[in-house]
Amino acid sequence: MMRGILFMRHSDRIVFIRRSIRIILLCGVVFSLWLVVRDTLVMKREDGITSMKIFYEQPQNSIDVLFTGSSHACYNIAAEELYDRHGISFYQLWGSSQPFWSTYHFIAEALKTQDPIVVVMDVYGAVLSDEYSDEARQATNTLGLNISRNQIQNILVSSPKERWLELFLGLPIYHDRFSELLEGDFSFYPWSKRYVNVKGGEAVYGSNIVVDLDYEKNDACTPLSEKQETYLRKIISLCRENGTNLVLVVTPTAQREAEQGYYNSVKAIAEETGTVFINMNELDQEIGLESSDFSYDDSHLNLSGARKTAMYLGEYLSAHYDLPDHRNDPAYEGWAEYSRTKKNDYLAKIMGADHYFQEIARQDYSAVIIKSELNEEENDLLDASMKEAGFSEPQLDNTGNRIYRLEQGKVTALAEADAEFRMYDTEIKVSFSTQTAELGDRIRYQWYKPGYILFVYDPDTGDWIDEVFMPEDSGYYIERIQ
Amino acid sequence: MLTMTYTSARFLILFLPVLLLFYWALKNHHMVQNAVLLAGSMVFYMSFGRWYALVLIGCILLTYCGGKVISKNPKWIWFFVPANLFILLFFKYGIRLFPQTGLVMPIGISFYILQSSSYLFDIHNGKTVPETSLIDYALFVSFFPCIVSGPIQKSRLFLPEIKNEKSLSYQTAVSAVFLFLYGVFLKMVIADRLALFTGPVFAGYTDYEGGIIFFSAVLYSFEIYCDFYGYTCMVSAVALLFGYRLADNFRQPYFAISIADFWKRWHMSLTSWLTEYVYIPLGGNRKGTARKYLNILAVFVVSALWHGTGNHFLVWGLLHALYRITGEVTLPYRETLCGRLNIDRNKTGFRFLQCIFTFLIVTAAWVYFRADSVSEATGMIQKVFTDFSAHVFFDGTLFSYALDHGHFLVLLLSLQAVLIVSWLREKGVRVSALTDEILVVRWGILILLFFVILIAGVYGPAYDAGNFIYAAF
Repeated sequence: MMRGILFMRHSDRIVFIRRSIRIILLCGVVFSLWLVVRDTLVMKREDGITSMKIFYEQPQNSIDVLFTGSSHACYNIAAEELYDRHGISFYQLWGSSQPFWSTYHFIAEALKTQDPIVVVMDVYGAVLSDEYSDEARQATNTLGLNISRNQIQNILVSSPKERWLELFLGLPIYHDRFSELLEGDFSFYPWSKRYVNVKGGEAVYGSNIVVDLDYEKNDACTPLSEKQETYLRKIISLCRENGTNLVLVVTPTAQREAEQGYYNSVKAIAEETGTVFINMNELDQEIGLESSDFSYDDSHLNLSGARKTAMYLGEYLSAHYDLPDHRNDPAYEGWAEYSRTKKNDYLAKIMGADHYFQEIARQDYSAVIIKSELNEEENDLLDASMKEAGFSEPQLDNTGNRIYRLEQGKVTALAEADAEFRMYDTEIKVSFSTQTAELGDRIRYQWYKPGYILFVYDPDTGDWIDEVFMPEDSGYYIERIQ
Repeated sequence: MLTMTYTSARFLILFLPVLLLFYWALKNHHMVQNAVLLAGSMVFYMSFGRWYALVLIGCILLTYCGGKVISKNPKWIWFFVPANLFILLFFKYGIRLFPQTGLVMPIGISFYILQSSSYLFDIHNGKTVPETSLIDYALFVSFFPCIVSGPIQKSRLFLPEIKNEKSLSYQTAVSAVFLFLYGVFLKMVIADRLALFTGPVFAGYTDYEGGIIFFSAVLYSFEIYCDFYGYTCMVSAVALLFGYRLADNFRQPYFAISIADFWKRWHMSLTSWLTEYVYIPLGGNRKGTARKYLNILAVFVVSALWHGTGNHFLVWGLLHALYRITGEVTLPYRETLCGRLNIDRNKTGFRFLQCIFTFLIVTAAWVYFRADSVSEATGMIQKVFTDFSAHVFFDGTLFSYALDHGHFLVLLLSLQAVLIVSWLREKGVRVSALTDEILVVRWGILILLFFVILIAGVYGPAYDAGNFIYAAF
């Protein structure tokens, strides 16, 4: 072919070169547009896809602790505690039911731009012994990766041959999302950096499971598949080659008895290779877990449990590794912002009055409390909740209508009838006759039965962060005011 | 071996580029070039089933020898044509008698049997001479762009084309890319999306309102057109890349103002074959009016039997015969009536109404074509008249089935684009005209088509875009 081009007439050669350049340019335009279309249409699922995409937005070499693995690496560790208590910068890079081979490629991809001091890997993948995950998880553990050797290798090892092309191209899987696109779908482009302050974690409210803490422990090993063991050893080697400390963790789960054989196998490999291994299922007392209040479902912790595991891990990591405290470093303001956002998001998920007041007390939030037509007995219920949360002198034991101000752990009575006042530069109007409460221009709420209305303010951010109605007749089960 | 369809990745990424590379690398060795193309065609065909190739090779050898024998003794046509047609009849109808054999009808058999039969007829009628090269003849029968669903080529036109030295210009290649993308657009964006709506309605019409059934029937008219025309564009584009220019198979059929006009625009290669090898040998219009109508009836019955074994195909054919014959019989009366009412039949408005009327009666016939039985098709049409309520188009019912607002918007915009392209084609504008446009327009259309297919195409894990309606015949 080269000979053919060389022996062309001069004019033909010019035409040939011009056309070749045009075709290359056309391919470049098509490829660029394809990347934009791909980033727009891809499902914005946090369980693997956005977790990886947002990771790419993180400032280079800014992450000291990288949490990785399955959903346990996200839901079971409220990693913001590490920043709040120790100033540790972190990222939770995870995927739903992520097998070891995908975790390996996630870590390998992460090490291209980050140089973490510690990689904390959840080893729930030991339980996932199938050759391939289900089709949905093959996608979620792949589609967030940029086009790279890691992406291709992850596809090859994670899925059967007939899926390789569609996972590589991505669009065959999610192209028909065009009719359901939302604003958030247009914000994951390489140049947008909109989520730089997101660090990958998520928390759930509630407790559906009572965990048997006194399960029968044994040392028997359930063998890992050859593929699992190969990739676990590859992860250990990868971290070692990169000079990164690896901590293999089992986060507390309700399925601890059934799963212990798999974790014993991981422990054996950890001991053989000199890798740190922490089985939190065996550390309930040290972590402070009680059987009924920490587990959300069979596999995941609620925020209360996740905070305790994070506090334990934070202590362990800061004691064993030289992790810098970034709390006063402006370059790490993103973690402070993330921590505030997570707390506020969590408050907005709570449905029970007792937990709600506990969270207000824990985060030092302020609030306006409007009490409407409650009898004394019902007042006592809420009064107890507030006392339990640590508020001094709740003074809610009066019947009838009242307005209170809650600030720095103290409750102060403001009015007993209709009132207009300012709090944190916001005009607040309460009318018991029309049963309406207004919070500046933000909210105008008309309640319809006896109960409490709360407007909650975060002094750290200077924002009103949540507005709720706690009706008396539903035991103060929280209704959100839209 | 895995099936290769014209839109499959293994066809587009592997088979086609490799075959093109070998084919054009042998540009100066025409005979070897044809051998490579034949080998490629066989590989393509065998991807649907290895034993299919045995049937194809049997047909090739039978008709190749038949051509030589018939040229010496024309009476042998009475042996070779029935023998060739027997292969088709056996696989279309005969295998039902032997279900235990597990045999299925080889894909494309209806097309290559007609194509090879035309070769025997042409030799018998002295329109062509027996082919000397078995490779060239085998390529004529098995040419891979046409083997699945045509267009049906005539030997006297296509065999000389095979003999010609081939060349491929940059403009032709660009035209082929446009044509291919347009075909994929018709198939994957429109036809396959329409099938999502029409499929369930035809499968269980009793669950649907008359209005939805009517709408579904109309959509099916567009579906079958976009499916078959989309396929034709794709294969024409692939043929172009190998230096072959296939004759048009469609000419804006829904712009037809009568059934006679419709059949001059729809599946033209089949119409032409039936006209030349059935209608004219039966006497055409040369033996009186009654015989002419009988011949029209015969053509449509043959067409129906060729399309399929079910009675509903027969009713579809008979309906078209009825339309044609009624049209011919009533033409003088209609002309007289128009004259008396002072209606100019050449006015755009009148032609538009004729066009709409033709479309509606073609649509009614398509219901029989698409339904699984005559009773179901009749039930559907009955329900359109007895259970019709327009509210389904206004209260959101329409969007509560397989296609939501977004899908309907895609369909609306796509069908508008097809309408514009059809109108331009009707005015004589060819796809090659695009290659003369300025770079920005060319690129713009190319990129737009590509991304519309990529985004709005019905493909991926949830769909199978490889099934063309006409591949079943």
